[in-house]
Formats: sequence, C-alpha cells, structure tokens
Amino acid sequence: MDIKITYPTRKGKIKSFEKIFRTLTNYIGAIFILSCYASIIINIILGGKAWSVIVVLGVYMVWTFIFSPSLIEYNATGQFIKFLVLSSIMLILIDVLLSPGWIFLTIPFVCLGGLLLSVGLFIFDFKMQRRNSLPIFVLIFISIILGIIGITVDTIEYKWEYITLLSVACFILFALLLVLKSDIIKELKRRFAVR
Amino acid sequence: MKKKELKKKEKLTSKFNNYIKNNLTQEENLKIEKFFHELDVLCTLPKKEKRDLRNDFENAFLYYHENGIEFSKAINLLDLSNLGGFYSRPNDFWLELDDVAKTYTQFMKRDFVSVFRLSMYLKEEVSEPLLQMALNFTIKRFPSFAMSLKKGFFWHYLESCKKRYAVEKEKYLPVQRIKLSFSGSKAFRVIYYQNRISVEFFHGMTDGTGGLEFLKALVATYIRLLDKDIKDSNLFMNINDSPEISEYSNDFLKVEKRLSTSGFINKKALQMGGKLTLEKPCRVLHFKMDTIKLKSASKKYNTSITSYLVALMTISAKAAIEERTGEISISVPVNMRKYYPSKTIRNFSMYCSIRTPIDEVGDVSSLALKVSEELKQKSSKEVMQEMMSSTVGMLNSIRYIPRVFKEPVLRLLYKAYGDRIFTLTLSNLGIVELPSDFSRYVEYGDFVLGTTDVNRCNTSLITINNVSTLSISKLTVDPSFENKLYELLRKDGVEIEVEGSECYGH
Repeated sequence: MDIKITYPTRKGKIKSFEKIFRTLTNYIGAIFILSCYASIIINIILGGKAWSVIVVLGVYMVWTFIFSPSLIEYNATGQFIKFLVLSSIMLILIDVLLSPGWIFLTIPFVCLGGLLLSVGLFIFDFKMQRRNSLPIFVLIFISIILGIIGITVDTIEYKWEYITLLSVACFILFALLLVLKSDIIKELKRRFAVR
Repeated sequence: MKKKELKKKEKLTSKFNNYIKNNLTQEENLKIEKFFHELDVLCTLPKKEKRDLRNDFENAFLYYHENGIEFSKAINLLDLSNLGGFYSRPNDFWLELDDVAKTYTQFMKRDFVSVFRLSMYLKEEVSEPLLQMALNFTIKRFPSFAMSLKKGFFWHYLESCKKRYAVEKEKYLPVQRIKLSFSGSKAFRVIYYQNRISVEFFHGMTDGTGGLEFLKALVATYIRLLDKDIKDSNLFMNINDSPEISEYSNDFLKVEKRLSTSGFINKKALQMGGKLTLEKPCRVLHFKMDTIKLKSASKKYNTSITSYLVALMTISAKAAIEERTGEISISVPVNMRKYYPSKTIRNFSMYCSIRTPIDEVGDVSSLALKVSEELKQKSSKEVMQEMMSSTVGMLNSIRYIPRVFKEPVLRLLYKAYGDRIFTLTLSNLGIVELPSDFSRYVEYGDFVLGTTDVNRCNTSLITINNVSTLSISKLTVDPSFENKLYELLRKDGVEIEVEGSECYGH
C-alpha cells in the first residue's frame, strides 16, 4: 500500500514538555489517590485528630489547580475565586480539626482581600468578564452572609472586621448592579437553564 | 512571537499604503478611505480584533492587485455588506445544548474532546487572504457556530462569541483537540494546506450534516472571492440570507419522551490490538475510490455501500483482534433528518451498532447480507425513534439535578457503556451534491472522525464529485486493519489511491 503524504510532516518529536506532562499526570494521579487512601488508613489506625481530611483537600487542590485545571471557562477570575473558596474551606478545617481559636479573625481578612482582588481582576478584563459575572456575585453573597453572621452571632468577638467586610461587599454589589444592570438577569437565565 | 506578528502587520500596512499611493487614482483613494471608514463604523470588536479585521481587508486588496484584478472589481468583491451586522451587534445570543451535545460535553477530558473534520480539495492552491475574507463573511450566516462553551448550573450552554475568527495553516495531524477552556475560545477552526480547505468542529456544536453546510458555504464564498461565478442554489446556504431560528433548534425535542435505556446498554465489544499511542490520532489515511466502482462492488453482494463497508470492516477488524471469543461491534451514525424534516445545523443524529460474534465472521458475501438486514432493522425509524426518545427522556429526568452531581455519574456510565461497546465507528455522510458551477472548482473531499479513548480506529466516508473518500483515523501503529481492508476492496475490483499522514507512534 503506497501512501501519498498529504499532511505536513512534523518537525522533531512530540513536544517533550507536553509528553512529559501527560505521562507525569497519569502517574501523579495514581500517586495522589494512593496517598489519600494511605493517609486516611494511617489516620484511622493511629487515631487522634482527623488530619487526613486536610491532606485529602490539599491533594485535591494541587490536582485541580496544577494537573487537571477546568476544561471550560478557565479564566483568571473564576480560578481565583475557586482558589479562595477552597483555601477558606482549608482554613476552616485546620481550625476545626487541628488548632482552634483563630478562624473568626482570619476569615474576614481572607474574604475581604479575595473580594477586592477578584473585583480588580473583573474590572481589568471588564469587556470579556461582564458576561461572566456569576462567580463574583457568588463571592459577594458569601461575603455578605459571613458579614451578617459575624455581626449577629454574639460569640464572635471581632465585630469591626465583619462590619468592614459586609459594607465593602454591599458597596461592590450595588456598584456592579448599577454597571451591569440587565446583564445579570440574562446571565442568571443562561446559567440556570434546565433544558 | 508577538514582536514578529507586530512587525508583519507594520510591514503589511506600509505595503498597503504604498499600494494606495502608487496604484490608485485620487477618486479610488477617496473610495478606499470611505470603505475603511465604514468598516470602522460597522465593527464594534475590541481594538486588536478590529485592527486584524482591517488587515484582512488590506491583505485581500493587495492579493487582488498582485493578481491583476482591477480595484473597482476588488472593492465590489469585498463589499462590506457581506459582513452583515455580525460585527456590530452585541453578544446577546446564547443556546442551550442539544441533547447529544449535552453528552459530548460531559465526557470531555484533558486529552479528549470530540472533534470531526470536513475538507474540500480545490483545483488550485488556497490563498490565505481570500480564505480569511471568506470566513469573515461566512460566519455571520452561522451564528450557532460563533459560540463558546460555558458552564451552567444544570447543563453547559453555548454563548455567542463575536470575534474575528482566524484561519490557520495546517501544521500537523488533523482532528487534534480543540481547546475550549478559555473565555471566548472558539469551538471550530478553519485550516488550509496546499489545495485543501478544512474545518474542524467540536461535536457538541454540530454534526456532520451541519458542518457540511458550513464548509459548502465557506468554499462557495472563497471561490466567489476568486472572481469566479457561482449562482445561488438550494444545494448550499447563501451567506447573505438571514439565519432562520429552525436552523439552530434542538430537534430532539420533536420526539415523544419515553424513559428506557434502549440501545445504550450493551455488552463490551472486542477492541483491536496494538498499544494506544500518545498521539491522538497517530495517523490519518484516506482511501480515495471511484464511487461507481465502489457501488458496483457493493451491488455484487446486493447491499448498500454502507452495509458492504461494514461487512469489510468487520472482517478487517477480525484480522486486527487477537481474542477469539466476543463480538465485533461497528457503530453506524444515523442521520435523523431523513425521518424528521429538519433544517437544524446542530446535532440531529443517533447511531446503531452492528454486532457480529468473532467466530461467525466468515466471507464477505454471507456477512454483507447479514449486515444489510441488521442495518435495515436497527436503523429503522421506529428503532431510532425509540432510542431518541429514551435519550431525551433520560436527560429530561435528570435535568433538575445540579451538574456537579450528575457529571460524575454520567462519566462513570460513559466509561462502562460509552466507546467500549464499539470496536469502531463508520460514519457515512453520503453523496454531497453541488451545483455544476461550484463542483467544477472542487476535486474531492474528505471527512475525518476524531479518535476516542479506547477504539483503535474510526472510519468515515464522504462522496464528492464521484470520488468516495474513506478516511481512517488511527490510535495504534498496528497496520493490520487498514491492510486487510485495502486487500478486500482491491479483491472486489475497487481501485484505491491512498493518501494520508505519516505515522507518529510512541
């Protein structure tokens, strides 16, 4: 069978980085799964605090951000908000499971910093991101809920931090509502379509 | 890279300025100034895209000048009315995915996105500036293709993505993964190489029939830009007609809903041998055959071309399989438009599978008859309707479950019952009819399916200008399958010209 080559010939071998990365990802995936199982089993055998939950979440974070990033809508704002949410969960878990007592002070600072940075990223690429506003609204609502909880729950001492978080989140919410107007309704319709 | 691009653009602008200065009269100068001013008004794309679009026009004017076409003719050929309102309207259009597209998007992986490709081979080498202009003009007729994939809470969806879609020069193997991950990522690409114009589509956006409509319109526009006369015809879409809503409707909803798993759950099929390559596909082959000879070979066994090829492929697959028990299963997509009148250019096809126990694979004559009967029965309207309604019913029943929960379950189901229930696929797009004033500029075409994760090859057939091109995209270096198929076709008197890519193994 004589084959007439009608496609350009590739110069050199398959891009070594791509090849190494693809092979590495397969091995690392297996190592990650094994290490998760191992840490859970060791934790159960040794008893004590449930540190393996933090290990599993940490492994998942490394996997999802480095080795298996989103296949759809992989953009700076979305990734940053995902990182922020996962980091916050991680901090809460560390506080609850390992060394309690500091989370109520840390969370408003993390949320406020993250919120301001996300808004910065959003404004920086506003033309493209104006139709991709849902993640930022989710973050705003999380901040508002946290703010309300922080202010109303008596056992939480750090009121000013939560008041600042709530007022900044509300300010950003109103500002975005004014700027985006009907775009938000349109986006909600698209994002929550059931058909 | 960016510096290089910038230099290229600067060079083009100075070349274009020289062309205006030295070759155009004062009146023509005024005309071209007005032309670009109008373009500026018409186009509301971001600055960089706007500049690129302007460069496309400059390139095209230069091409015409270098090829001895008068300015007055060039400005007519590049008439701005061909852009329509595409580049001046806001990005408000969006579409829910059709029922088949929903499944394609659930099964995407880092290294697997369902892609197919359609090509036409012209009689002359393709000119990049004119192909770029043809794409700039054609895209407005296909708003459902100018889309990018977005995440929804219940399902993914397609959102309009207004941009200047650039043509690419073919660099490597066809049907490579289309990257859909970034905001504004395109879901198709137009590629050219020598005399070939190809379009590669993400299957979630359209099927072969829809893709073919786009390719025909694009090539017709390109040929017209070459100053060749092609009259409007109902055999291809006119790019200046307004798109109809029915062209991007989800026609799966036309059928009555029923909840069953008809046609999906099946035994695992045998897979051909050979180690899977890292390259996906590692090779593409095209068997170019005379349609009349292929038809007469199939008539010898009283079958259609599809049944005949399925029979040959079953025998060829056997030659590439080491196991001696189990079933060879060939998946044959069925175009639902033949049962339900539809204008949609989105997905509207289902499939049936022709299964043969490996120990029952005999000679062509006995197999062809069996395949023919099975294909007739399994691709009948009733069976297809049942399968289609169960697809719609199944997706309907899980529509209120958030995507993050249903995605892992659907993935698991796909892993168990997806491509593993087939040995390979044969997709026959049939005969592509073109008006004579169009077809005289076209030599033939090809249709290539992307590879899956487990099937060692996929095959597809298209017939243009009496040339049937059977394409094989491979996922292993083992040549047993194609060698056997070649031998069987030759044995039946079908002459084959084999074209393709080099083989990139491990």
